[in-house]
Amino acid sequence: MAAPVSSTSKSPVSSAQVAVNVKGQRTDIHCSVFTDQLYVIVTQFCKLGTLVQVKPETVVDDMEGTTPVLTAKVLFGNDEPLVHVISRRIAASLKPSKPVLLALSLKDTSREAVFPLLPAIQSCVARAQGGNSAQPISEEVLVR
Amino acid sequence: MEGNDETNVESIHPLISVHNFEDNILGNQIYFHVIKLSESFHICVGTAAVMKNMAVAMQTKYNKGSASGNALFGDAGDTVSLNMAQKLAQKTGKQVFVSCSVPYDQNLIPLVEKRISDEIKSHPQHF
Repeated sequence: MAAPVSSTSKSPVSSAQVAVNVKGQRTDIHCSVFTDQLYVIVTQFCKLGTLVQVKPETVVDDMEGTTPVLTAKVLFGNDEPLVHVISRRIAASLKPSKPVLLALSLKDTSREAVFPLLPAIQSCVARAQGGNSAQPISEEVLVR
Repeated sequence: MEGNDETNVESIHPLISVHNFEDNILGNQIYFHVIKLSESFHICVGTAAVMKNMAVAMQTKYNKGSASGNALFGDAGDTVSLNMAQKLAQKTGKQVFVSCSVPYDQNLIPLVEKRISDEIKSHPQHF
């Protein structure tokens, strides 16, 4: 995926953006890396839309030990279960070590429309974080 | 459904653009990170790459005087971001998101706001 990317190394905040076309639906993806959180915009209207904060946490359980979980909190916008599911799914694909602030505005929230975006989001975040190798996305990530 | 989703993904030119600039104001090295969206922009201001708060403001047809705004997350008592968002929304007529994390200094904030105004004047295409 060789989308035009502008990122600056001088600024303390590194960022990258890509745009993809999935079945005729344009989606703009932006990522800014802050030291305390990742800021990811996924938009089909070129606006912020719903802002969701997804925090990685661990649950300590006697039976299974520690289990990583993601908790989503809608800061403003559409506070629907589907928004929580999609934002946690996107955050999970990024395997974040810090909270992710996700701005979502999607016209089509079906599985077929959202899942093809995950590799693009992953590569955009990887570019913003400085690892410019767009890692190949395993089939397992797409299917789960 | 055919198995492979990736075949339908085509890369195009992004509409979101980013503008970074820096300035030394009263001995503080302040960075500015502007994310331009459609009819709105998000500006992050600070001395370090952190986003501790966020506020939004926009003009409505009901209050011509000052823009309506609200703090979205972070310390609700810290109104620096909110005030800045309201001023910028009034100035640009756009929806403005501001994340400002500069050390509190009565003299510094007006200068930071002035620096942003100057940048909007000199590079309006980035906002």
